[in-house]
Amino acid sequence: MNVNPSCVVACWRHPLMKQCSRIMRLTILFIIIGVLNASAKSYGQISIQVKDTPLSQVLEQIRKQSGYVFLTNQQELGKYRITAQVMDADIKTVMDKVIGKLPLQYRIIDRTIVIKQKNTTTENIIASDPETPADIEVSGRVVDEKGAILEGASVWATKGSFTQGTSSDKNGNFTLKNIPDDATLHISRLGYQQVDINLKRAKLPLTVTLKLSIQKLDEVNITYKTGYQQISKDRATGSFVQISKEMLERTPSTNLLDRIAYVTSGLVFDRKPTTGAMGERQTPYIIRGLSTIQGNPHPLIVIDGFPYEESTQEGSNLYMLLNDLNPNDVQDVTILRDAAAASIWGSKAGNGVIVITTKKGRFNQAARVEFTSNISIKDKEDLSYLSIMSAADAVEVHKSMYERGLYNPYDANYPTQRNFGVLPEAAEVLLQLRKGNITQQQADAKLAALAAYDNRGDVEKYLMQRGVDQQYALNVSGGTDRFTYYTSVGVDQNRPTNVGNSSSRITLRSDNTYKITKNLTLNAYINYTQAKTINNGLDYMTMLHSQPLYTRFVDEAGNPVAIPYKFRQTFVDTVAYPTMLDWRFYPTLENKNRNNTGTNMDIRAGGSLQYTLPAGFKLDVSYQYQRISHELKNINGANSFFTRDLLNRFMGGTPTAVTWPIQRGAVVYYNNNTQKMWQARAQLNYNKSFGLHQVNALAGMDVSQKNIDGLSDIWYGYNEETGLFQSFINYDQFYLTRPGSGQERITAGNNVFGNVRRQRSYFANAAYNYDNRYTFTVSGRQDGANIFGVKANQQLSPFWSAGLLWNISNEKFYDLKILSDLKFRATYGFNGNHKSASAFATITYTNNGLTGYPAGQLTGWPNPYLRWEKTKVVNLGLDFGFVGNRVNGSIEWYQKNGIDLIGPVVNDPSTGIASYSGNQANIRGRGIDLMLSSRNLTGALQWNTNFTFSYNSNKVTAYEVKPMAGQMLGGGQPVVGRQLWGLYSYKWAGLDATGKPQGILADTVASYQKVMGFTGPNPNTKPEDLLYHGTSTPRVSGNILNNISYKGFDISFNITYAYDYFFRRTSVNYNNLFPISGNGGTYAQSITHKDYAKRWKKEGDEAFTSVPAMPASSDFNLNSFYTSSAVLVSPGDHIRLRDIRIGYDLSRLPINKLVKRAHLTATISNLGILWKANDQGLDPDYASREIPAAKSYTIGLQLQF
Amino acid sequence: MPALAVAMLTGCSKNWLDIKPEKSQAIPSKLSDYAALLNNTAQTNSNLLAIGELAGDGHFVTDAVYAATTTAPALNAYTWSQLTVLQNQAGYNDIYTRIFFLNVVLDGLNKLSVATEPERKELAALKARANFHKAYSYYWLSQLYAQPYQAATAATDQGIIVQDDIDFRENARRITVAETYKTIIDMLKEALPNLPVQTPHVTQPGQAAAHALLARVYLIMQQYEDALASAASSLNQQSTLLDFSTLPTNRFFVGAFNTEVLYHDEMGSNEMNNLHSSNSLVDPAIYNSLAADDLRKVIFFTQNTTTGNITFKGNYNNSNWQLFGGIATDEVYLIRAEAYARTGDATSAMKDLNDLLRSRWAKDVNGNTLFTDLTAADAEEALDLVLAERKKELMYRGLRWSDLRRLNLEPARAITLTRTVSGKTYTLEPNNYRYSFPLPTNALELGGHLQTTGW
Repeated sequence: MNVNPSCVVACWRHPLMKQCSRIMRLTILFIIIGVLNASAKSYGQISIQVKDTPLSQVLEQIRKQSGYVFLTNQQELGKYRITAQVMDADIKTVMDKVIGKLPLQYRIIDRTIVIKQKNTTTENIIASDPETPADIEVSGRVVDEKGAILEGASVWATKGSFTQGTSSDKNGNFTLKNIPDDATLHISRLGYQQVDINLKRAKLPLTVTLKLSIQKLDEVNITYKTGYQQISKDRATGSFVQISKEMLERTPSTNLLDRIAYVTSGLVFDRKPTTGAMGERQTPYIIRGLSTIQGNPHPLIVIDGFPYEESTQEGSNLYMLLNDLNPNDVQDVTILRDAAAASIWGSKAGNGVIVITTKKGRFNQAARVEFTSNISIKDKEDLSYLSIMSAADAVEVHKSMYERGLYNPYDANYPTQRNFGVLPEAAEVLLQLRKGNITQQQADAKLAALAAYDNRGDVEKYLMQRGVDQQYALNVSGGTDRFTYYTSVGVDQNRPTNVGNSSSRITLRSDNTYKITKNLTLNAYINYTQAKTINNGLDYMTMLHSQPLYTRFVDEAGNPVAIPYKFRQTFVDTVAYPTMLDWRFYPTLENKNRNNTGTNMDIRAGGSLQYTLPAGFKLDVSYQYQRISHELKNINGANSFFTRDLLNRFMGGTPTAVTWPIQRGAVVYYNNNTQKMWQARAQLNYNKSFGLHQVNALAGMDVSQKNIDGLSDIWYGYNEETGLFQSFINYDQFYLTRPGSGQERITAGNNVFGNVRRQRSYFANAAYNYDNRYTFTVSGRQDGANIFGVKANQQLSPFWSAGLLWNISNEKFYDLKILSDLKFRATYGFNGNHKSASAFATITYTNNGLTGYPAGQLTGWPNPYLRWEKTKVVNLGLDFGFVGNRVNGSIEWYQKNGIDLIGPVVNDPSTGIASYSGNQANIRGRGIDLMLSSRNLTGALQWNTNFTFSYNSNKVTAYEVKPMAGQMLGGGQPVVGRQLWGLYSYKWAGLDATGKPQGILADTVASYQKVMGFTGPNPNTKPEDLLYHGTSTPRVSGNILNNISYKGFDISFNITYAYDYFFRRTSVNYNNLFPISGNGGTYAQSITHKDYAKRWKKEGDEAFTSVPAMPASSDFNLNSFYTSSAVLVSPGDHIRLRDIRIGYDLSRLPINKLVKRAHLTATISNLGILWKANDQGLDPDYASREIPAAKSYTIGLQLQF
Repeated sequence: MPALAVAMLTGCSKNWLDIKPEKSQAIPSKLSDYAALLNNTAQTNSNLLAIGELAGDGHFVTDAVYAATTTAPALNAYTWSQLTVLQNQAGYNDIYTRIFFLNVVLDGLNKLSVATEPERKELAALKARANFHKAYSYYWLSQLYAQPYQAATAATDQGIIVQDDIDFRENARRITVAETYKTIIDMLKEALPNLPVQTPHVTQPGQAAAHALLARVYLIMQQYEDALASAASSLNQQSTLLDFSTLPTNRFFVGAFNTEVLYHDEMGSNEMNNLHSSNSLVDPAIYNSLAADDLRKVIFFTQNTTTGNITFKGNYNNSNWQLFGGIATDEVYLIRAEAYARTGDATSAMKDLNDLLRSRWAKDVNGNTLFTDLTAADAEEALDLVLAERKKELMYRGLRWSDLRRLNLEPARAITLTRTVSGKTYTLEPNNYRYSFPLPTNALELGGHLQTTGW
């Protein structure tokens, strides 16, 4: 059976297809897949090849392959050793072969196999027990510790040689007839501890409570997924972390990445996305520290075996997004942290790998329906956190500027000096007074009114709203012995706190597996995501930061008021020709005059074919096609400020005969890009046991291709109703524009872009295990890509790793009872990383702004020398479990060196390339990851704790470009011997007696002018004069997650911590207060930080303030010195309460019997900081201009039928 | 699974990875791609290094403006000194980046094979265009870093650094003055037949522009016969002059792509910092030398009524920051006039000069010019008049520096430049080594070049 996904997708592109028909087609496709399910045939498939192996181990193999549960006396089984070989047989054949010659007998009851000693002589037993007891009927119900129904528990009664069994039904009920009344009842279920009940003393009907078997959950069920294979935790040498479905369900977020951000060690989420040395964007998700400087910093995301990339319209820059994945479809997430874990991903693995496995149906599973709903209410952000100076201070400042005469040029010369720039309202009042238009009393009254106002109330009332996020997800899964199915639908509707913004998403997924013949299994899946973002909200944060707090957004009655924006009010009030459009900016109306929408369609379809070959081989081929299209349409309505401003600027003619080069109507920015990607893989697996030896190996090849094509355009005079736009525009003509008399062309926006990426890789790995005591692994991969030069591609630069696992507690000599489980792991190897740089000259087309002709811009110089960056990782780990697994965990030490990292290489400028990206830098990273999980209380009241701790530090060991003080202060400049992202500042020696800041140069106090000196090529401040505080990303971080449950109630809370890092605070910037007169009347903010109130005012103030005195005139050196000085650097250390979640298990209530599981939760997120090292009241994650995320309250419901 | 099979098979083919990553639009592979690259005026027609203009006379800045200047090239060029070490000079990098860009285009065009005759012609035209831009860049550098041209010593004098390879690790090399001028002339002569007579836009050079550049180069080389021939060839194809009486006087610049422009190019603002735009004040002597009816007084200049400061607004570009650095017909008239005068033809020289000036003059209400033709008694007087006119007409075009370099070679016309900044006087004697600029230190260290003699 073959579904060719690319064919299906091809039909998709037909232009006539409307949205609804797309969904219809999807539905049809899903039905087809469903019908195909029914045509598959049934085969049981168990292969056993053992030599002198303990029976218990053989049965475990059978269990893993078949899902059958064994009920037996473990001690007795230990004495039998088995030698057998069965290939692809059904369960009965296998069992006969395995225990046929032993003095045992077995019985298959539903999914359970009961093994016991053979009845040698039944008669004898009866004879020896003449008082045959009365037969009774035994019935009861099986539940877990929380009272939830347990289906499929094996229940059997024994007495001597008598055995009779059944299993619990959907409601947990069981009934056994004709049971001796003194028999023993055994109840068992996979993952639970067996319960034995003597019927003589039991009260009927029974309610049997099974306790979780932690041993089994932790040890047996965990298999790590690498995207190429599954590795049992017992045989994993590398550094893996798995995040379970339960952990993922804790956080009610639309995006999966939010759900893994704060719950695991080694993965740090640093919410400040910073820009790198050369302006590269960094990712907030960092696995074990950064190991690149200019290269791609994002971890690789893998979904169901294939790398997954969601790119934005910026083209070749790939961002780490997972917006198109419904997190409710995810089964678990495995994080690959070291070389051995990740080396199978070769050149993509340098930043670690996040492997996502989606939910699937299971063979022989009755239909199961899961429903999840989360509804979150999010508070408005607290605007009082903003660090803007008060309205009263602002009025005072503007008065003093006026008194210094700094606003006079705006009065006297207007409009001859082109002073159209914005002035704050207080300045306009004072200029009115100066002209004699108003009296002193009127002016004073106006200023007093301004000083008493605070526009944050307006913003909160008119531009902010309560956020509401809704999430619904439904899935149906199940399977027969021949096929499995999983189908889901998810709907998300998010409303952020900015009025006018919203987003919605629909996801559909279907995943099916068929056994076609006894050796051939086919899997096919299709995902469809449609998302829409509406982004009409006003950026009120920027608005607040660029206006004095006294600037009204509405009048007393709540009507929209125009604020000073782009041009002076006096200008827009007076220039108007009779026909000119209103040139004022009304902040509370803007979000109604825009229609900015982004539409995203993502289809991902693929499948795999597995063919079992003789002698332990299995061939696995897979293919995936993905197509993501983004459409961005920003409609600036005819009444939006943007459109009015544009039209006014270009309006021409005379007052009596006005001409409009741009016609009335909306201005639309349109951008559409489509990413098409296919990936294919052929892989041969080999798994075989020889007695105590076991070999698992695979080898294969990957090929992938990705295209991005796009176009962008601008439409003028657009009419939303008719869809028509202005088709005749003279883009070549220079128009005289106002204000002033500049010459401008109308921007033509049409632009087409595109690129293609190809990669081909060969990979292999092998694991050898001896007696579950020693495991050795090796792994290798070679990558080639079309982004590198022939010189680099021809070089054989494989990425490889080797690893060792020693299961110490399985050794015969090991007898440390208390530490029941102890493993040691060691790995060494190389991963790679790339940068989207090219060995070829690459060009992008744009329209030349000067001539209007299509022009090619060289976006990449031909660079034949570029090659992969390498990451060398050494990892040592210890896994431990204390007796009864009350406490278990792991500790790992690693060294992660970035080698041949890409950085700027300086070159003779006469060649035309003064600096190019070359493999020149090295970093040495080191760290420790610790994970502990403990069961503090068991029993009715349960208390579990998960603790993670990560330490990571790095050091730049080679970097070709010498640092300069200015760049170091700017951040992101690598300095040899120091950590990447080091935070530097000017040394601080307090304020002098006149309120001027002082620094230190060569151990002597120096004036700030001296420190700043000549900032050109020969500055007074050298790199060694700067103070190095440490890093700006936490070196120590982790979380503590506590979970307490009692009788169906559970409560959990997550506390995160971050230590050993620094951040730079903002403070006053006096330059912003001084109006800049000159051509064009450069816009002056006229406000600054609220620290203004704490400034030095009189002699003696220097004893208790570090805020410099206000200078007499704009002083760039003072500002640059103060804002980069040590006094504004604070430690970022803090402890934060992420969330609290309370749950109740509704299935304990007498509700519909159809419901197997019902869980109601209430979560409060973003509870805030519990402790912080800085005493300025700042949240270190929100130290500059943003406001901490507001609390949100979520009600969640999970149902399972 | 056919898709998979096809994928694996194609993926296995040996040259599968050799596809260029920016397939459809982004890898230059067709003639239209190279045409598009040459349309990129940000690379091909801008960022000429402006230090020569800064170092030339005719304008100055106040002490306050100089004190507020932070870029080392500006500080140095203005005072003909090396007050500050030139570690890495953006303007120097820009002009060589432009040459590298043109090398990438030329390298691609040389490797491109085309089938049809029209395509071969287009290919040749594109090569010619790229070579013109490169020749113009080399010419521009020759006026800054090469020693002034003297036929006697050109074979040994220091010329410019050239770079003809797209492998940026290959070192660029410094050639002699003779080689420099030969390279420029050869490139232009080779390009000429393949350049179009009419170009769709003045950012694209045509034959008139190439002839004009040759004329300019021959003038600098004091080969006046050749200069005359080239200037005449240029004017034969394009001789339009702007009628200044039709221009508005309230503009901040004359404007880009006007009818006089033969080839548009711009100086960068990188190294000028604040020594230009409204900060640069015009020498009052030049302003005062303009006749009352000379419209350049109101179109090229503006005088602040309170301070009396004169600033320039005659840029043939739509900006006060990016000065016009291309070629216009007014200059070609002056080249031909000078060449006539230098070769003894005073009459022809005066005709060219008068034709030019008439277009600069005001008209009466009936549209008749108020200009009275100038006369010269002999060729020497005509030459004096032409050279005086060059000083007024060609301000802020980077040409004055070249004129100083070549006129200094004639003892009678040699000028000693002086500037006083904050009480300190700087002097530049005629034929001083400082008429050739020093190389930035990173070029010396990383490229192993010899520093310009004298520095």
